[in-house]
Amino acid sequence: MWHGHLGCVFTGWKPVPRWGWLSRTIPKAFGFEAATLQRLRADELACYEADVKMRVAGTENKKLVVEGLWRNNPIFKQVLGICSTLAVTNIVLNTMVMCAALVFTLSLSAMTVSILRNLTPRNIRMMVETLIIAFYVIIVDVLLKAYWPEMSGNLGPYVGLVITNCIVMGRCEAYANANPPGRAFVDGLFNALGYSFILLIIATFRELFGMGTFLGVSMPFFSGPYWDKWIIMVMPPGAFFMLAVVVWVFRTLQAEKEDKAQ
Amino acid sequence: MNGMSQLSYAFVVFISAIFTQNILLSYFLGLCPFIGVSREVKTSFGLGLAVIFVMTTTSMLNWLAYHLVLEPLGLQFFRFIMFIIIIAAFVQFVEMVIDRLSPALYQRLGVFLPLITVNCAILGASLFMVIRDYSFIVTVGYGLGSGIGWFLAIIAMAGIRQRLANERIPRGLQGPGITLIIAGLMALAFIGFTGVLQGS
Repeated sequence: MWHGHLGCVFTGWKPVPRWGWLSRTIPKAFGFEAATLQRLRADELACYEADVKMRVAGTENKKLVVEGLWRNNPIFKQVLGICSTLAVTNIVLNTMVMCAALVFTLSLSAMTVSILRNLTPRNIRMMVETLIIAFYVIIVDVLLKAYWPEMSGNLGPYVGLVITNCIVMGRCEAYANANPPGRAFVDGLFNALGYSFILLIIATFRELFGMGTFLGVSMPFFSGPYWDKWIIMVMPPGAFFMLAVVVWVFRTLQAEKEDKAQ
Repeated sequence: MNGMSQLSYAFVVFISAIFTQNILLSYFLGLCPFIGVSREVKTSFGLGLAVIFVMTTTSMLNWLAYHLVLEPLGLQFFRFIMFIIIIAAFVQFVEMVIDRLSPALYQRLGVFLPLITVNCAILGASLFMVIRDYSFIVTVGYGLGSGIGWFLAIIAMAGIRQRLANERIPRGLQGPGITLIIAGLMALAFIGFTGVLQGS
């Protein structure tokens, strides 16, 4: 089916803008060969194709960003990978370092898995992915031990446990495995960021309510005599309650939005 | 420390790993299967048993690998890869053995074994054992205790969730939300055990 300037309905092909009669006669008048003209047109076509591809990639990336941060957020939508990081959310600084480690590991290992995706035999795929992840985790661990031994001690085994964090493996399996490196990197990065911002919310409230501080600095109301510190917030049960509240709030917000959309 | 006090220390570590320092409720390890698989008591029972078995044996194997191989060579930073390979290989091996020897047991336990490789609690127990510098006997006590602690927690959760199946729960809390709140209450209850072990 052909609709003139609208392009083909079935294949989505759109006509390349042509110069028409003038474009054919004017160059001839100035002595251009037919072959040059054809090459020019081919260049134009290539340009157009590249443009379309970039636009597709752009929307694809935008989609990945929205999915990772909100629509398919690893924590409140998938409730995955909270194991290794929930434990350090009683202090904001520890959480920040942990999240940075996770962002680094997830984005780079997704990219690496994607680069090697055609070289990896299907049946040992999971093992190769685990080793790639472990490689980046070891880099983080060694760097922390060398330059910030105090923080390394605070985080304990939880840096190493990023290896078995379900999100890292999950993104490698679900996305990086079948997509080009650039997009795998973006997907990994924004899933990690979507994860981090939830954890930072949890950590902020836990530290504020439990100790009356933020990043170690005393806050005006919460460290004063009128605030009875909720010690339970910095203990393990506080993490469960806080995460449950966050999941509840965000899921309700999302559900309302979906209802409105329908 | 002599042998006897090592044994009693191992026992203290065993008890505290079950109750006061439960690997799931106070260290948040193994939460994903805890939330995902705790819908029925029967399945949780199978998974819990598999975790007890794998956690005890792999923490022993990892202790041997760490202290006999990595430490003499000075390759401690290599432990993450070593541990994860040992765990994966062991789980694969056990799966094959069970499949050969007892199809009935395979039906009950075998299906959960692949899930276990990515259970953070297993790797976590091995890493804690290294960080706290446990001796071999204490490691056995710690691995077994942590496994039993995880088992207890998931069984209790599955029992509660079965009761919850017919209750009306707010939409945003259904599934993971309510599970986390129950886990928090359970963690509170387990903190109550702290007084039991004054001397440790």
